[in-house]
Amino acid sequence: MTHETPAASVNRVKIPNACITCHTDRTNAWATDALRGWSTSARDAECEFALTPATIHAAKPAIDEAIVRRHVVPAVRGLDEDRIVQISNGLLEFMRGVAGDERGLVAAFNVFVAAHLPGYYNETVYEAVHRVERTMADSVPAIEALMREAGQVCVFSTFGNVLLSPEWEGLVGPPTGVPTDVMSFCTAIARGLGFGHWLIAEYQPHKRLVIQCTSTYEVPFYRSRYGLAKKPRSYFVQGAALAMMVLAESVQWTERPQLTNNYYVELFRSQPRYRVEQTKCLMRGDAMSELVVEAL
Amino acid sequence: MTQTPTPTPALGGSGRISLTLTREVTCIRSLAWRCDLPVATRWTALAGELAAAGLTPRATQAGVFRFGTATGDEVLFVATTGRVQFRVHYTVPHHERKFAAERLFQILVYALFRL
Repeated sequence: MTHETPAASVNRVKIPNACITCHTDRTNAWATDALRGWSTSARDAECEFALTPATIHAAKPAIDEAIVRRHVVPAVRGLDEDRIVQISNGLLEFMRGVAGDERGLVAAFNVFVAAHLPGYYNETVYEAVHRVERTMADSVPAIEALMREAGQVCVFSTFGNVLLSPEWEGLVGPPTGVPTDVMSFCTAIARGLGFGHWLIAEYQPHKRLVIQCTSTYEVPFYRSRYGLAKKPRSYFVQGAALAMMVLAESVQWTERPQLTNNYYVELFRSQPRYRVEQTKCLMRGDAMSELVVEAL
Repeated sequence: MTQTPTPTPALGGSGRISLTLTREVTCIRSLAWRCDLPVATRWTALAGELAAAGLTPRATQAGVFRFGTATGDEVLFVATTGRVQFRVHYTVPHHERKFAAERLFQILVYALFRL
């Protein structure tokens, strides 16, 4: 596995380096210096920091607007659609006025977020999963669970902090803690932040949630790079849908909880617990993607 | 840190109010701090006083007023709820962030005194 070096982040792709997404008070330049201090013996031979030669990427097609349009199906209305549209449009308008700092990080909505290149995420996820499928098939469930959990963590931390932020309070109001509100709000955030067109097809509090997607940012990449998938592969949305259920059902929003790592572990290991199944997938050629979350 | 501004009709109440500076629930390493003002505060007048105190007004979006300092800190307030957030710039060393937040809080309190 190779990682983009801080120097490459600064000089080549102009995005925040992975180092400073945890070291939020540091810069790419700091990360470059810090890595110089690493001894060679401390480096894992399988995890070296090196620039990826551009020639490896040269043959791969760029994901342009035409490709995206080819893999997006017409939007469908879901539950509470009018409110979701209104809020997501407000978020989009808000985001137009938001800019990254000198590190490329956007400090807004109580979090630091990166205006991320979706191709960077997509390539990382799907190349890793495919590599594991080719070389160590027994570990496929583990890496799929990890990719799913990435979506879960993202919704817990990012969507959760958005809901608690002053920007959200100005746009929508303080959190009410009503599960149906939280579900609609998360769907609006997904659309507003560019995760895709998600909609709520069915929601029975404490029992069942069905999220459908007529577009996600993984689909154009996957279909153009690898063709049709043989099984559902929307790992991010799988984890996200499960996390939306937990955020809606189990978080006391009016008490303004601190969304720490400990709270995450406590929340996702406590009762009630849920499971998620992807029943339809645009990458597999289905008419849309569908995620079903049910209480265990 | 707690300060008590003198009575002022601009704050919408008849008596004194107590303002408390606390860490935000979603604080990332002490970068975000919070206090709450009465909803009836004269927000536009307060915005003018903050600008007079040297803060730079930024675009108001969705009812959120934003101000910046020369060193990159920010003060935000939500007029509909009275929530005020102080965002300390990430380059401020960790052990100095509380004091940076207190300086922003003082600017706010003195702006309230002048209303």
